[in-house]
Amino acid sequence: MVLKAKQNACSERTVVVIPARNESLSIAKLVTELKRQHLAVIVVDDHSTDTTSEEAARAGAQVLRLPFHAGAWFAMQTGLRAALEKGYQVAITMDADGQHSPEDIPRLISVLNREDDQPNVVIGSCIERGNRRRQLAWRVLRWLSGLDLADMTSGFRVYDAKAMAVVADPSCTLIEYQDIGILLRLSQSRLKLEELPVEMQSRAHGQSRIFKSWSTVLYYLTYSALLSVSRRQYASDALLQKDQ
Amino acid sequence: MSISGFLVGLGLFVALMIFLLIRRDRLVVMHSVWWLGIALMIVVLALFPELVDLGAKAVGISYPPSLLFMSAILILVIKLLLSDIDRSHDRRRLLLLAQKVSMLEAQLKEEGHTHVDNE
Repeated sequence: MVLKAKQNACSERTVVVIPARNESLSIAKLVTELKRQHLAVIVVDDHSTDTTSEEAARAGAQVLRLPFHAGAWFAMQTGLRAALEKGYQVAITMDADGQHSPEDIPRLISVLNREDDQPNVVIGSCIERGNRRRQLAWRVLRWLSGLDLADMTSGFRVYDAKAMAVVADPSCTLIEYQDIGILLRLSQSRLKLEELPVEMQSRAHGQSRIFKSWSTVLYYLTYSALLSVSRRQYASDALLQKDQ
Repeated sequence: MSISGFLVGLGLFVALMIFLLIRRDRLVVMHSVWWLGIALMIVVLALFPELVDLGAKAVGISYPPSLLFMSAILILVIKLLLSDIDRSHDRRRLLLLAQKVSMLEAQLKEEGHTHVDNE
């Protein structure tokens, strides 16, 4: 009974944030599964041209609709800001296309809540997924950014309150993708990031917006490379921090 | 210090400034591609000034420094145009936001919420 009370208390302060654009085919099913776990759900509709908002609302999510298309990370940040305003202490972010399984959420949260050496962010990691382009991107970005993470682009994450505050900050608003820039910012804020292997399904429909073609990959790699080189931790930074 | 050394230093300084601006979140990342390209051009032309002579000969300009000035003006004009296009895009979004805010304020008023600031 004590464990159930603790779980209930935990789910009351936990919210799932889902950025979505034209995901009317999958969003209702996802929200319904999450509601079965008694989780609050915020869907941020990135100016969809289909019925994504209506489907999400019908399934029980709170829906925020952006007035123009602004990108997945902006939508996610909007949801995280809304979560902070509402007083949530833990936020889970996931994709709307059915790749991430709600059944993995308790495992991610249990890592966040463990008693020893608690991380601030737990990343659901699946390095087996992805084509040659994605694997190449990860290798290059790992080298440029200095981040020691296997899955750089997973959107399946759990953030504690400290991490939510960091990524909700205006300094993260102009970032275009949810990976390198955000992970570097979290790392530089001296927050602990940990990965947990999860299985990811193939996309139910549609395709990756970043890795759909070599031109989008080139744009993404150029952007991420510039950001990595500019914002990574350098030896001089480490020395300065040591002296403080 | 030779002029070549000065220009190489200038190009590297521009590149360093761009990276610092990105690091301090003062510059949108992809806007830096343009400026880093300019920094690269400065360094390349400083190391290989004969490229200006070759370029002038290829386009039929008899006085090579004219090509440098003309190229610099052209690059700045294009950059100005791209900046205006970007600003137009941002202005449209700002106006959409203003409309949305006004509609939300009206809705809040209708629902009987307290004073709405009309600054």
